[in-house]
Amino acid sequence: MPMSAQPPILSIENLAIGLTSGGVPTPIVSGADMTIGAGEAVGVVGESGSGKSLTALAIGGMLPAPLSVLSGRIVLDGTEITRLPEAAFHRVRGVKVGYVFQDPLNALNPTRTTGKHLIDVLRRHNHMSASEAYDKAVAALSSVGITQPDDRMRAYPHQLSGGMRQRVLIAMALVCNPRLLIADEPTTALDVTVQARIVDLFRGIRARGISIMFISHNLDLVLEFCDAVVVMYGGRIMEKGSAVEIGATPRHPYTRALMDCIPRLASRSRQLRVIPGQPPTVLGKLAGCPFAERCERALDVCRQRQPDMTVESPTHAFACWNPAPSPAVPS
Amino acid sequence: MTIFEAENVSKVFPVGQSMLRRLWSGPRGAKAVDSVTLDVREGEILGIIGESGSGKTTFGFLLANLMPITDGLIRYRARPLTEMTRTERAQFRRKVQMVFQDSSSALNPRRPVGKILRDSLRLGGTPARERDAAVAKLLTNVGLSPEHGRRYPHELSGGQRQRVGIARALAMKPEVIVADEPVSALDVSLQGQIINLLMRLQAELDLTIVLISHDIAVVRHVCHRVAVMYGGRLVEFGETSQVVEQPRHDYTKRLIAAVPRGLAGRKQAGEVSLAGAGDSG
Repeated sequence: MPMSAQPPILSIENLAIGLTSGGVPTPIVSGADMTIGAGEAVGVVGESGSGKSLTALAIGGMLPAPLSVLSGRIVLDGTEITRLPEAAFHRVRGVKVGYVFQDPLNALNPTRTTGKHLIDVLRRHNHMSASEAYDKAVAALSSVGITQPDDRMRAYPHQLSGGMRQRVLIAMALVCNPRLLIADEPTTALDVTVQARIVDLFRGIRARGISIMFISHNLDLVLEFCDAVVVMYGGRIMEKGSAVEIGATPRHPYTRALMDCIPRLASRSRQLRVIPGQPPTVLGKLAGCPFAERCERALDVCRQRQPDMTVESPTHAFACWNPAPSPAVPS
Repeated sequence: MTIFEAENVSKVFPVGQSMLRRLWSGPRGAKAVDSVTLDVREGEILGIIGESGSGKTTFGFLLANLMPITDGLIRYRARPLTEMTRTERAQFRRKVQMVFQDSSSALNPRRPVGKILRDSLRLGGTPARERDAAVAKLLTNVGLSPEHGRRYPHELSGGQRQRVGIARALAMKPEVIVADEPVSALDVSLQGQIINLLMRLQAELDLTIVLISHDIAVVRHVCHRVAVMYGGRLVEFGETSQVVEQPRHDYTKRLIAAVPRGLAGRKQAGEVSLAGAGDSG
């Protein structure tokens, strides 16, 4: 991961997200720290309820009420955007940061054509004529690998395949040239073969210098193309590092467990490895590490006190009292 | 022992045809399943894989007799589905159960889990006074606690709901379970729990399981044999290890290549194609 001298596109500092009830702030996500450099792809990995999607929504000021940012800072492209008024977020969303969500069918208006979707986004954010917007929209479609873009401009969402719809959403997210693309489980609803092609598209987008935050529950998928990985659980960052560090020498037991439970073709064992138990529910007030309950390596201290981040290398850190030994034995 | 035999099974969904035209010239339209011949052996876990639109779900529905076949023949224990009497059909419905992908829409949102299971037990012929105990036993058997019986489906997590879906199938004391993408809506970390549960139940209860999935890695772990479908056709069928290690059909090879491989799957900068070419994607 080339950590250049350039300032990062996104930096999140000690972010806490939650709700305030009776004047008492109850965090759901806390202590979230991460940076995404120019042209860098960062994968954010965790199970449902880990807080990865909330973190992504906070960046665009899209937290659903009654949730809000409780403390910390979000700096996007040199500007602090932590507590912008809603009106100001209109100049951030779609312009500086583009979003792609999991379910491409629900994200598109069924009564509008592909072209209408794209032209709306363009004309909302730029002063341009209808024909200029049309040309840009066609170019945007072809830039995400859609052939015969002129024909596809007239297509309604239901006339497109799942993968094609996801490409349209990606085109919409990129049409105003944002610096950062946030993709929340963009391939989860897709077939494996289509997923592979969409991931190729993300590789191409990064090659154009656009930074990517790629949210997923599949660590193997993220390791395939991201530069750095952030592993979240129960609203906290468990481990972060370069993809190679996370993939080859993970220290946090949760990262290990996430990696072990992925079904792999190479393995001949019939039993699948699992993480026992359920991910934590959102509003658990925990004294210790949120993963302690399901952790094989948990000690008494894990249930009593929150571990601080241990710095392993300039790019690699983890929060664990009893980390897996390093270097990891490849399983 | 063969439990299911499918011979040249086809299913055509009429598209853009008037009712009269359909009566006149027979069904024409989208061929979802196209001359599929395969057998399901008693006590095995058979995987059916393919992408959306490959016909794998439709084929599962045909096996479970949830829709009529257009052409061909399916035999259950040597008895063609189409020739079954009413009583035989009713029995078949009990013996062959389905588990669906979307557990939230497969369970009645207005009934607590215990009631849902009691309904199935009643239909499966469990006497009324034994049902409460049977509900508790079903819930325990799928890794939930009897206390979950009082909850409504929306009060459970996705993984727990899928366990209820499996418990409901078991309430009928089935011989065969057709599971249509039972884990694809779940987190990777929970998929293993459900898959392991299915495998344990299969061994304990001597079940035959038809597992429909798009994930060849899951199928690889679980299934004795695997059928690969593409565009409605059966393109490859055999022992799982053989299909995975020596795939013959191009589509099977692509399916295998598409499985994310973590660090091992990282491409060098030069290999990156700019638009991730591919129209169908």
